[in-house]
Parts: sequence; C-alpha cells; structure tokens
Amino acid sequence: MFGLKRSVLVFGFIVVCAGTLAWAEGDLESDLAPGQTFFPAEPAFHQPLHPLEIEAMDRAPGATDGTYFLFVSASGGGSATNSGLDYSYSGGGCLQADGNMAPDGEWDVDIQIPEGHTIGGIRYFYYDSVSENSMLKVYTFGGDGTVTLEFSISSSGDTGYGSDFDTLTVPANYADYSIALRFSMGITGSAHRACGARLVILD
Amino acid sequence: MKRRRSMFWPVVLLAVSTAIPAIGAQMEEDQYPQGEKIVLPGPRTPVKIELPDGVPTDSVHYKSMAVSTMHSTYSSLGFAYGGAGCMYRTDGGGDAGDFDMEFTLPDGAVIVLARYEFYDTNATQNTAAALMTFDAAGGFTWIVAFPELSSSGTPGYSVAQVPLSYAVDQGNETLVMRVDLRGGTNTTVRACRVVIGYVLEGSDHIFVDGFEFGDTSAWDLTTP
Repeated sequence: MFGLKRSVLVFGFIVVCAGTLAWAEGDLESDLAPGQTFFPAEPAFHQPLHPLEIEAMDRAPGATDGTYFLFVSASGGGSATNSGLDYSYSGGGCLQADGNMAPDGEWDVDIQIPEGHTIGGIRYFYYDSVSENSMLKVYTFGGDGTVTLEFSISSSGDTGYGSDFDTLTVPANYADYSIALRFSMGITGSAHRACGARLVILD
Repeated sequence: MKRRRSMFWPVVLLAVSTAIPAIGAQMEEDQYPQGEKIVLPGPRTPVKIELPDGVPTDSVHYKSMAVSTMHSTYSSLGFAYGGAGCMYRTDGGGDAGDFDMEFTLPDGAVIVLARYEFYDTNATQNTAAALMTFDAAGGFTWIVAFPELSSSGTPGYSVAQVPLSYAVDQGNETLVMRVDLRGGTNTTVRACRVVIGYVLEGSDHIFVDGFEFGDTSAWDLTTP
C-alpha cells in the first residue's frame, strides 16, 4: 500500500513538473481554460528523487510537523538584480535573459520559512538545451556587508526541461541573515531558462 | 639588508592576495568559496536589535528580506547590485527610487520592530525605509515613515530601527516594506536589508508587564 502510494506520488510529481515547466515559447497560459494543464512535447531530464524528497512526499496530509516542500517559480518570485538586464517570460513560470547581462543575467528570490526550520535540499528546475550550464545558488546576507554562498547547483541536462537535486543545511535565523535564491543564466537566449526551485524544509 | 629585502616581497604578495579578493568580492560573488562567510570592505557600525521596553528577546520572531529580492516600483528606475544583497541606484536620481516587498504575518501578530540596514558613505545623500499598509482601495497608512528609518552621515554599513507595537490586521490591509534610494546614484548609498520583529497573538509576552507598550496615544487613559 505504501509502495503504491509512493509510486503514485512519484508519477504525479513527474506529471506536475512536466506540466508546470511546460510552455515551450511565449505566453500560452492565456489560451488555457481554468483547470486545464499543458504538457510539453519535449522529453524532460529529472535527476531521481532524493530520499528527503520522498520523505516530504510521504508526509501525511494536514500534518503540522515533519519534512515538507516549498516550491517557488522564477517568474513569481524573481527580481532582476540589475535594471539593465533584458529578460522575458518563457512560459510555465520560466524566465530567460535576452541581453545586457550585467553580469550573468540573475534574479533573486526571497525565501521565508518558519524560524528554526532548515533548508535541507533543493531541486533546481530549468530548461537547458546547450552544453553550457545555468546555475541556482543560495546566499545568506547579513545586511552589514557579510555574505555567504551556502549552495550552488548547475543544470546538468542539455535536452530541454530538467531538474537536479542536492542537499544543504541552512537554518532560518532571520535576525542574523536573510536567505535568497539566485537564478543565474550565464548566457542569453531561450536555451537557458530558469523555471523554479523546490526546497525540502526540515521541521 | 638582504634579509629585509627577502621579507619585503612575501609581505607585498600577502597584502595583494588579501586585497584583491576583498575588492573584487563586492561584485564577484560567483567566485566566493562555498560555505565561507565573506565580509565586504567598507566601514561598518554594528547596531544591536532594539526592542520595546518589556518585550523579552526570546518572545520575538523575525522576518528579514535582502533588498536584492525586492521589486522596483518604477520601470524607469536604474539600479544595480552592490554585493551582499544590497542594491544601489544608477540613474539620475529624483523621487522614484523605491523598492517594495510585501510580507505576511499571522493575523493578530504584533510587530515590535522595523529595522533597516544600509550602506551610506555619501555626505549629502541618504536612503530610507518605511513600513506601510495598503487597503487596496487607494488608501495607505505609514506605520513607520521614512524619516524614522533613514540613514544619516557617512557611517558605512549601519542601521536605523524603530521599536513599535502594531497589531496585524490581514483582513483589511496588506503589509509592505518600502525602501527608497532617493538621490543616491552610485555605490556610496546602498539599500541592504529590512528586518521585521513580531510577537504572536496570544503570547504571554505581548503585555509582559501587564501594560501596553509603544505608542499609547490612542488610548483614553494610559499608565505611565
């Protein structure tokens, strides 16, 4: 029973990812009816689920403690770190850099989780169709000129939509520092798109 | 003499190798070693968190946001990244230098602190922050106005903060922190981070001494 549940969840996860990260070009969302989901024609590369992600998926509905997810999209949370950056929406919550990189085509996303909880892992969702890689990083900022690069992960695929996962340990301690994700494209054009990040939070 | 010369170059190389990462660190965060805390060069004035009288520190929760994650309210605003989550202005100045960030708190929570962390080495230009509420019908309220959270002088990295007592009403208003870079147009004025301190509804610590704290002017009768 438990294995079946997990299989369903994993399948559902893949379907949701594919649907969420879809939309090859442009704003196709406006053509959808409420409740309708778009699926990309292109195959997606997803690194296998990590045990932490499975733990979060197995969390009982309505549970108030345990491991859980925080899922953010690049278009919903990302703020360009330079007003000169040219960028556009790629569909499916993804952003792409189009020019004036200054320096790498980057968007920062604020992360708020309950104090005392810990970011234990991150899955970076992207579109990558070239040999170069884009990156997702996590910084903590003290507000007094102190900064720590806590985590970085590269896109590993070059066949389109994909995701990669790795672990980290960043406890939420907002009196001392803020936490930001940074999507860093590195190159211009639709070959690199930042789509989102799914954080595994440890209670 | 020979011995002194032999000491000279190692000292120079050590100084250069130390200075180059420090200078480059501000804009080249991509090259930081992972897990290592970097301190950007520049003067700094550490300021401890200041809470209202009677509020125990262990009852206070915090939210903080780097300004690099906030949203500019004008597409015409020119800005760039100043390192360590800070932003600075690059256009010609003027009034439209705002970055906004909405944040949510549990209904009934009481905000006890608004704190703004910045960098300012400009003797003539300042930066400021404000805590506002909007009713989405054209109305707004300054909970903490710009003059109360403004930089002044040339302290480098420093802080402005206001202890307060404001009950969150999610049913009628949204909460926004606004940062204003005003006339600053280069790296001498940077907006870095905003911090909100709050206590939760029902906490025994809200009225820890049995009395209201902060601004009690709205009450008919106050106890000194």
